[in-house]
Amino acid sequence: MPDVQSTVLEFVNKLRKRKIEGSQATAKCTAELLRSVISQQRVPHANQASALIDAVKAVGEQLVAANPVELAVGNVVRRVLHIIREEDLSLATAAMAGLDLLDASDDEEDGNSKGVGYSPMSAAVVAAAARSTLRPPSLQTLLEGTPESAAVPYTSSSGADSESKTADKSSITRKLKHDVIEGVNHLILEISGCHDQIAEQAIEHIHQNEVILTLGSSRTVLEFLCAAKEKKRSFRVFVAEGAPRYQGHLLAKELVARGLQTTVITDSAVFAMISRVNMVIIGAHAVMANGGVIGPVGVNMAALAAKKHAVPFVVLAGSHKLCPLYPHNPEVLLNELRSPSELLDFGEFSDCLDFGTGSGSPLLQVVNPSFDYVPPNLVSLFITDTGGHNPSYMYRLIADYYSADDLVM
Amino acid sequence: MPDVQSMVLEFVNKLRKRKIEGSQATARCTVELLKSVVSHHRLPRANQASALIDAVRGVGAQLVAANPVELAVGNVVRRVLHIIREEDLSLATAAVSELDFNGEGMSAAVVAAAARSTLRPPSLQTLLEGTTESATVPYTFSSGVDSESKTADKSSITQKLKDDVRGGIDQLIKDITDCHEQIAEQAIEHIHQNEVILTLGNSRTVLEFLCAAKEKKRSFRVFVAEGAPRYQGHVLAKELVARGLQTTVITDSAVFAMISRVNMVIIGAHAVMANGGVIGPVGVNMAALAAKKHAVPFVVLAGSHKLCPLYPHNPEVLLNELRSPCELLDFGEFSDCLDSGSPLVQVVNPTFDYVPPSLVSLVITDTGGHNPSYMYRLIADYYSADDLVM
Repeated sequence: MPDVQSTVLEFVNKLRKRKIEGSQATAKCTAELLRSVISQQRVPHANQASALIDAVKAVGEQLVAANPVELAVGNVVRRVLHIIREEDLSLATAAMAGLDLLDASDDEEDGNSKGVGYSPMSAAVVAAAARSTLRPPSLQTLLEGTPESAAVPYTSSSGADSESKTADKSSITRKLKHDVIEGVNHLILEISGCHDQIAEQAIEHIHQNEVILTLGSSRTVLEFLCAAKEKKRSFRVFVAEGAPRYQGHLLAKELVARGLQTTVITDSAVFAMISRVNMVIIGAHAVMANGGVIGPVGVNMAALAAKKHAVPFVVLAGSHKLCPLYPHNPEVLLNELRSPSELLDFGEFSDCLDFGTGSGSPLLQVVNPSFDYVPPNLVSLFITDTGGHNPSYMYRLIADYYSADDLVM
Repeated sequence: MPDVQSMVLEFVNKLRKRKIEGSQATARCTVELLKSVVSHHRLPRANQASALIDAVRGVGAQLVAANPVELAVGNVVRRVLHIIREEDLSLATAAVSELDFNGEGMSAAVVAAAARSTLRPPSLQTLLEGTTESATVPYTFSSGVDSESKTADKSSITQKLKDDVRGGIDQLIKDITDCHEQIAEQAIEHIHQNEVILTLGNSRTVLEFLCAAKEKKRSFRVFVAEGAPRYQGHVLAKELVARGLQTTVITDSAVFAMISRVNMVIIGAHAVMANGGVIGPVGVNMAALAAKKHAVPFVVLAGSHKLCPLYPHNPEVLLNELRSPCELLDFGEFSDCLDSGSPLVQVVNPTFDYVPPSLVSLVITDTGGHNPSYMYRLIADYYSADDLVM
């Protein structure tokens, strides 16, 4: 316990000091931390799921408070909570199915733990459980379920054993933890593999002799473009440098290293070049529940330019970036202001920026935001690891990944 | 006189039967006809200008009535009327300055102004820099002002007016004939390397424009929309290929599909109205809407004889002409549907399309490239307000 506590404190410190760069790394570390929290948590005999949920929530609050602008932290915490609820529900269903099995057949094939074919209800449930993996349920599976599965809206591959309710309680407890940790492992795999999943779809979107525009530096975009390159599509890329951090220069270097024809342009040149661009591809920092996108500063300008010239605006986002909150939610800090030193040299401007002068308000104000918000009507397509979606479909993905009870932590 | 009358009747017949193809040819023939009308007309001693104007107007009304949809006819008639008024005014001014010659330097300024400008439409600058005297001479003219006294031979003044008018008409003919070259000269400023141009139908102005850019070693490719039902686009495509341009023929319905990859749309106009609206071959409105949606510049080429001083809402302007349904449907197959009191199949086969000025990015005339909202200014230069109703 103390071990976990110190780990948590250490991670909170790292988050507060912004030592971890990037959503993917943050999400992975958060998931791993929560996994150890879960495995170390001692759960009571009854209501073990709520105990787990409370523990995870407590840790999650600390993490979110440490870095509220990194929405991936909150996303992962809510994913884990959703996993706990799911597993709990499926275990309860399996237990119920086990009871039904005992009721229906007292002296027939009691070795048959699956109970296939006895009562249609349990069979359907078990079949459904066995069939789907920890994948978000599609509308189809929901609709084709039996009345029984109406009580089981979320199925999971927990390997439902039809143990009777009188089975060892500690084994059930272990089962829940075990399933939850499996689920979290799966989540970590998903987070790590999101680049590959998204890059697989590149070939459908990038065609021969196209001109792509991107802004800043996103690893997802890099992998996406290189995947298309590997499939022998020849295209050229315009990279807007993305002042004041000039991350675009890094991306351009890497693209050139992989053999792509690249041109670096200033942010102000985006509107001038947009008439010759066939598609704009951006990596998102976070995607909100309404389909709005939080991205590096400058993407809203690119989105407006693209809208004006009817150029498709494509946003790449791993599933850990899907945030169930809306932009107007007070919890969501849409932006973070960084140090003015990135823009102005303190040495030169110290007299303007100084508060020491009599009036107390400097003549020169410097605003250095990190992020930009792009409203959903400017976005043409979202590409996540599950495929390409309309911004208006985001609510559906979010319903698949998160529970409504976890929105307020 | 009877000679002229028979010529007029013959031309009216040709117009009515649509025997003359194209605005440029029509405009040229009209101008030449009006030139002979002016030459043969016997002028009275006084008010010879009004006599000329009435004569030209009489003939002009017949011509316009013969083919009301060919707006170039009316344009040219109004141009000639404007020339007559101009020449008359400049001669009157020369006479007035004759009287004042012994006076102040005002006449010198007037004479200097007259000698300086040619038969070019007056610019805002010359209007503003004129002296108080030239306030009464809004249009200056290089009529070769001789400082003859007012007591000079009246017949020579009559002769002078006719000569000046004929000179003006010759200049007009030259303008009409050279319009393709003048417009094509500007091609190099608008077409750049590696561009994709879209055009629709067949326009000689567009052909010359594109070839001029090709000669200046710009490499670009052209999409030609075929322009059903006459498929004039096929003709244009053949000619472009003959001159070595990379061409692709597409159907009219493919315009919106291709427009995202097009850098500029270039169209030849049938007529440009006073509000900047464009009358073009059927299908250009669709291309203009597609271009607007994708923020592609929509460029219209029009010789100055196509600038019409009327507005599209003017009842005199027939925006369109419906052609025979046989271009669309084979009469043999469809005769049962098309026949009878109220046929179930209606066929509409318009010749022209109207493009509102909000969709047009640029109008290139022989004087240069202009905004559609600048058209009123060119029209004020070329036409007189008194001639709008004939």
